[in-house]
Amino acid sequence: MQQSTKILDSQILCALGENSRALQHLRDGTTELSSKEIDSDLLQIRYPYYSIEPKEHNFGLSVSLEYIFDVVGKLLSRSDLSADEHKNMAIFFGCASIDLSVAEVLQYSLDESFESTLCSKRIGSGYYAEAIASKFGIDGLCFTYNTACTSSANALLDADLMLKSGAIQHALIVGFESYAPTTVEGFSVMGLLSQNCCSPFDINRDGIVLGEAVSAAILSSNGSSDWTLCGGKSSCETHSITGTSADGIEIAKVMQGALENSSLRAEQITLIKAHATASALNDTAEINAMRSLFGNTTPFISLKPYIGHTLGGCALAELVLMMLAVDDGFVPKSLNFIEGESSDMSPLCEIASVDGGVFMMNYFGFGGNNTSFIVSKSRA
Amino acid sequence: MIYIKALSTYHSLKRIDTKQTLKELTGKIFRRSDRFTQLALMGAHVVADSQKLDDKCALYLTSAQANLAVFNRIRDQKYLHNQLPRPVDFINMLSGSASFYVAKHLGLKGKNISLSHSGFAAQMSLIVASSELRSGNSTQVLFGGVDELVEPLSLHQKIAGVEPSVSLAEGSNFLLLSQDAQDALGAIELSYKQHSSSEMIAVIKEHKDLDCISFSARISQSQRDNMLAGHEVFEVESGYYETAVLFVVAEFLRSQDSGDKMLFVDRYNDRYMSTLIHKMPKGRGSE
Repeated sequence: MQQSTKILDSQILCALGENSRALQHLRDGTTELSSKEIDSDLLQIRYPYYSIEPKEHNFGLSVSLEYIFDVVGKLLSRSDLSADEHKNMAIFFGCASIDLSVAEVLQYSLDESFESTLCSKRIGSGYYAEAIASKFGIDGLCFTYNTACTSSANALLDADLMLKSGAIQHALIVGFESYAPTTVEGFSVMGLLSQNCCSPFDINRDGIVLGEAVSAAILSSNGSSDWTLCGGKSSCETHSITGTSADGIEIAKVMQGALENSSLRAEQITLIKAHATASALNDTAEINAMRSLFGNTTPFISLKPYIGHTLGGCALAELVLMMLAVDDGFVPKSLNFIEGESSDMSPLCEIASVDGGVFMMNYFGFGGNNTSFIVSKSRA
Repeated sequence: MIYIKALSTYHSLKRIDTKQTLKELTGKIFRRSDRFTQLALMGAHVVADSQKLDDKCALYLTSAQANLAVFNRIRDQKYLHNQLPRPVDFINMLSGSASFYVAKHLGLKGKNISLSHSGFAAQMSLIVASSELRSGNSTQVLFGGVDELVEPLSLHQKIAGVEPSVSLAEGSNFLLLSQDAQDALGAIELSYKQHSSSEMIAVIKEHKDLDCISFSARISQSQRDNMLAGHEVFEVESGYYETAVLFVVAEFLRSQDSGDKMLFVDRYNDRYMSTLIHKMPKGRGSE
């Protein structure tokens, strides 16, 4: 009989702070927003940005690793895995800007001292996961996912596959995205960034607000936890490399696939955590998909107004926030929503009490990558 | 055990005109694609030409440094010319862009994953792909390894962490994988463990029925001599790129005089991984 995958524990560091401070923000419906500037020959502009404290830091590998080690270290320090279980745990690392480890070295290569500093050490994808394994004495399998905004969602789903197949017993999932100038500039030249605020599903939404976050979770095939990863679905939509089709048909299929993979029906879903980037097309597509599958009866929320769009790290970061809130007995309200495109589909704008339930988590990314998974918390 | 139903290889010690080669292969021009994506399309197209792919076929694409050339270009735009990245470069910077173009070209709607590892990109990715097949979520996996030769070569050698004397190459090698053994060219038996040098020697000794062993370019001659226990060596002049193991696998399956069972041994940072390849009836002597 196939075992279920349990989510044993999790940790986050994002613009809201760490677990306890983030929880307080979610309960209060507050957030902390800073900004980042682009200063090129053609464009000088400042965008809102959700930064991890300290709000102004240097872009760099050492800063990124500091964040990652901090979050993973805190999580592992609470873990009651045996020494062998810890050593043999598999690492699933998801990040959209994973190749920053390459980009930064290339930046260094412009410096004449590059020759002497690189020391013939291989640089490339897998750098961060390898650093985690080395730092924390983990000797198991190690995987690095780069599927844009679904990176850590796909990391989570593949970990689930391997746990259920018995190939591994424990998995450390890490979702990561830190500030990188090229990322902000890239989204800017594509005209996707808001200069105001992140207001998903609102009729006046005007784009994405980026953010950074590190989150980590331990999954187990034989552990004990109130939280279960029920299943999910990942698929490719080739309508456009930058977004989903506005009709939401392909998104609806992946959500339906997640239900089927989890042996659940639509009416069993307590709440949907929408991807909700606040970009014009994505939100419309997601509304259309949710309406076609759930009607207008299942409540949905957005979490990006709290921490920004943390790209490849967003799946795990938003899952950790959801679990923190539900464990505390509530579902956060959606911020920055005033009026929707249609009156029948509005996100939950008031904090709601829950004592458990079944939650669908949606993520859609560049490259046509659509992923939806479902988690549940047993009711008290 | 996972089965190889079809394969394709492209590899070269020099950069070729991928745009022209791809046009000759497919009759199409892929707008907004760059060399890395074109390499991926070349390999994937040939497999799809030889075997019918279900539209639910999953796609797993792996690479060591992914689209290194576009990073070089963006670096120059930003730090030398104080320019913003071009949208097309920004999008192609994401590893998932190449797999998007492959999925679009082949009409694939299944799972589409780009993943990597610091030293064993192809081997680790094969492990996940085999789990996808075993789960029954997908009955076919199109599995590709793509690494591009990027100029200047001296910089590429540094990024790859190899000595200047090592000949770099580029490759786009694809396998169509299945749980179904019927009409398979070969089979892959994956080892999940990474070994020390002495453990690797012990593992090799346990494989008493091997016909040959092949070593990655990361393993020196003296290390090879220590590991061989009277085995034949299957030599492939592939040049160095991290996903070259897939090219070696394909060459072994195509070979007519190298026996039926090969162990490929790879090394990174004093850790070793081995992959066992079985040639199957349809694979013996196949082109």
